[in-house]
Amino acid sequence: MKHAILHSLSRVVRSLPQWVGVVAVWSGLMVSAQAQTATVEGMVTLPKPKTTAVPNDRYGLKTGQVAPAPAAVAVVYLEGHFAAATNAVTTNRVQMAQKGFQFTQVVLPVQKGTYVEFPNLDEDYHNVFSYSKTKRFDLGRYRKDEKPAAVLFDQPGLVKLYCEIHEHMRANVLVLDTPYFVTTTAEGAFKLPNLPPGKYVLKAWVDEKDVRSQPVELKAGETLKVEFKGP
Amino acid sequence: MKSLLPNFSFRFKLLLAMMFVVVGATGATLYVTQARMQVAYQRLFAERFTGQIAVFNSMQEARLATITAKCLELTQSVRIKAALEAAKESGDSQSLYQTTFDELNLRDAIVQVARQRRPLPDMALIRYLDAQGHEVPPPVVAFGGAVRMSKERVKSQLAEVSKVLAEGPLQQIGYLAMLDHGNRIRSVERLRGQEKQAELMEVIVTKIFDREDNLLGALVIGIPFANNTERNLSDYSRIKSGIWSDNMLYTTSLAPADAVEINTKMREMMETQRIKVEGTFDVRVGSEPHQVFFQRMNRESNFPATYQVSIYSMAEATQNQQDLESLIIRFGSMLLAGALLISVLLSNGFSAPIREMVTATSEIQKGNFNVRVTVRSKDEVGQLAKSFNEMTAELALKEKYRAVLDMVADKEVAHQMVHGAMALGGEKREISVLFCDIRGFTAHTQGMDPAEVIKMLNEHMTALTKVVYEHNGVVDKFVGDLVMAIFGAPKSYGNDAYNATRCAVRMIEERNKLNETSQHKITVGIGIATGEAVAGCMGSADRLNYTVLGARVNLASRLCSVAGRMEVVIDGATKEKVGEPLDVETVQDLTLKGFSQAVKAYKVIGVRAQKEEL
Repeated sequence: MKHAILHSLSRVVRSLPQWVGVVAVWSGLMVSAQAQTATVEGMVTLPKPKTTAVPNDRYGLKTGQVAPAPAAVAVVYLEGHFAAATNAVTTNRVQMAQKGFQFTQVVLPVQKGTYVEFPNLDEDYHNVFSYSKTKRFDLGRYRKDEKPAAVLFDQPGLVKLYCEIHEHMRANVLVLDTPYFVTTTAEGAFKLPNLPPGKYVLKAWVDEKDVRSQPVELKAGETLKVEFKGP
Repeated sequence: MKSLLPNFSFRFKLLLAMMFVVVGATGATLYVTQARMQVAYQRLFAERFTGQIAVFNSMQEARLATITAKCLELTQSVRIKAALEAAKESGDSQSLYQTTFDELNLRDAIVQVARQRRPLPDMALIRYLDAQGHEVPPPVVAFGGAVRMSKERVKSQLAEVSKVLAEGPLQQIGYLAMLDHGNRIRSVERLRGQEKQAELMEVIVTKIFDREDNLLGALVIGIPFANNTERNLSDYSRIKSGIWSDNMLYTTSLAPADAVEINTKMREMMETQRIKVEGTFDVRVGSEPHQVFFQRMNRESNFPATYQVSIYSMAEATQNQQDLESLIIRFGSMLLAGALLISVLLSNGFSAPIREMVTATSEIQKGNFNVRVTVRSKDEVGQLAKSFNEMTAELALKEKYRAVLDMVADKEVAHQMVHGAMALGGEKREISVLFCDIRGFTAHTQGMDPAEVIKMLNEHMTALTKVVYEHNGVVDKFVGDLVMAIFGAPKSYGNDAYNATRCAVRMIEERNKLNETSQHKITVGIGIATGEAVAGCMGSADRLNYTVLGARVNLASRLCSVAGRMEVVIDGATKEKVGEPLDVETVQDLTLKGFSQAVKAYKVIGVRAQKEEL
């Protein structure tokens, strides 16, 4: 590994004059890109929140111990074929914690190839698992100070999360084949900047049965307003 | 009684009554015993059945406790719910069934160690259904068990199960036939050949709900219904039993032929009556009567009703009943015989003395007062016989008195006196009086033995008295050799004077006849007078004589004394009264003592017989 790094360093040093030119061109491009990107913003009408499931008595949990379920939100993402450059992984390691006997988010959108960690912040065991076809895994039981291995989500699709111990705990990991996605606020507002101009389909994931979509044409330097109305 | 049995003898009536009582009592005993026994046996069987059902239920519960608990636990597991959801979404049931088997194996391992029970293979069919009742097919067949069932059968079974999903309790138990519809046994005859295949599957369905209480699906576990249970039950109670499910009887303890009978009857019962929970009926299997009880096993279930059926042979009960009946009948017969014997003896005790008394009575009627009946006892009949004898003795004595009376007094007088027709104190009557004495009696009896005199007199008087009676006369008295007879008192015959005259003529004839044979030749003279005289009982207060008094009586006496040997002398009044049939010869007027005037007298020559006399 070390050898490989040294080798590549020497190569970089040797071809330095070349690199200077490339960087100059690239930075120029970046600047022009800044000016040429599009933005989408708008609202997703969220369904009225359901009454949260009451945790089962058999866990010996008291109501006070259990945090309220996180607010339902939607994920808005842009679907289409993107150039390899723009397809680069932005963040390849995110977290979905368990706190107050709840998953911290209702839905966690990640780009394909992302590692997700499931830290336990409670003074009790949790056992996160999924039988979803997209990603089948079972972390087993672990405590606060134990750190289960991060799970790589390498296929797009929905992964439903369960805790084997606490039936009421539910969450989803939405694995997307796009770098352009955002989670709405609890009210449903979203803003998706720095999008490449062109014709795409903009989608809003509300829940597993409710995925709304809308074709969009993005123009450089312009901000598109999109409303995702409920069914 | 008299009107009911009019012409029967007392003995027969008594026999009839005895028979009625004994037969009635025996019959009533029989009836009551029969009814009681039937009720007792029915209660006994009902109790046994209740016990059997209780045992069966507890065995069933114990047998199913582990598996039902396991099912409940499994269906509440988050993994199973997650796996079921995942399987529905993706059609991949691998993790669902894998998880199920992992958990079941784990569980079974524990059960096996702890209780030495048989492991998983008992669970033959394991399937999940989704909320709509559709099968969630297992990834590999082996996962799902159901080794002994074809795919089609599994499908049809699950179709049955899916019907119960909509409502009903969380967990339901049902019984389904394990055979395919194609060669489904409809008649139990075929059960003979395919007995092993005629099995039931015990199906436990546990519903699965998500965290929002929406129906997710159900876990179905089907276990071949352990015949052990039935066998154990039969061993325990020695009672035959079976399971009635889906219009068919499943049994191993019953002989196939018997099972067919009961199957038919049971089906009839189910079709005709709306049985909900339990029932009972009688059926004749072969030659033996049986009682069948049945009770629903899966009450809180939407599965077709399944009944635990118990069959009790009534043979023993019937045998006992018959034994008792024959015993009662034997006792009854013995009693009847005894009763008849006693009643014969009793009626003999009545009827023999009574018949004897009847005979004696008719004897008495004939005049024989010497009959006596035997006094056999001191009871009422004996008392009757005793008083009958006393009465007879009394009667005999009275008859004796009567005879004596007849002898010492005139028969007619005695009769009149006895019957109270005799007026005391006397009455005036028109009569004829006859006196007849022996001529030369004193001279004739001089030196004779007194006994010889009495003998002679008796012979003479007997003959004459007889003649008097023949002519309706009354012998008033004998005075020495004299006979005094009265005609017309105490009772008149109309022609008393004629009677008296005829009597006198006949007396002469009788004496003449006697003289021909007797050693004493006697001649008599007779006088008759007719007229008014006083007739009555005269004498002291305690000694009375019936007689007549008056001048005519004296006249007759005087006429007697003037009459010659074998002559009859009558007075004028007599002559007038007799009238025409009389032939007389006038005698010169007589001057008689006590009579101031001369009295006309006639000597009787003959008296012609009156017409009516001829």
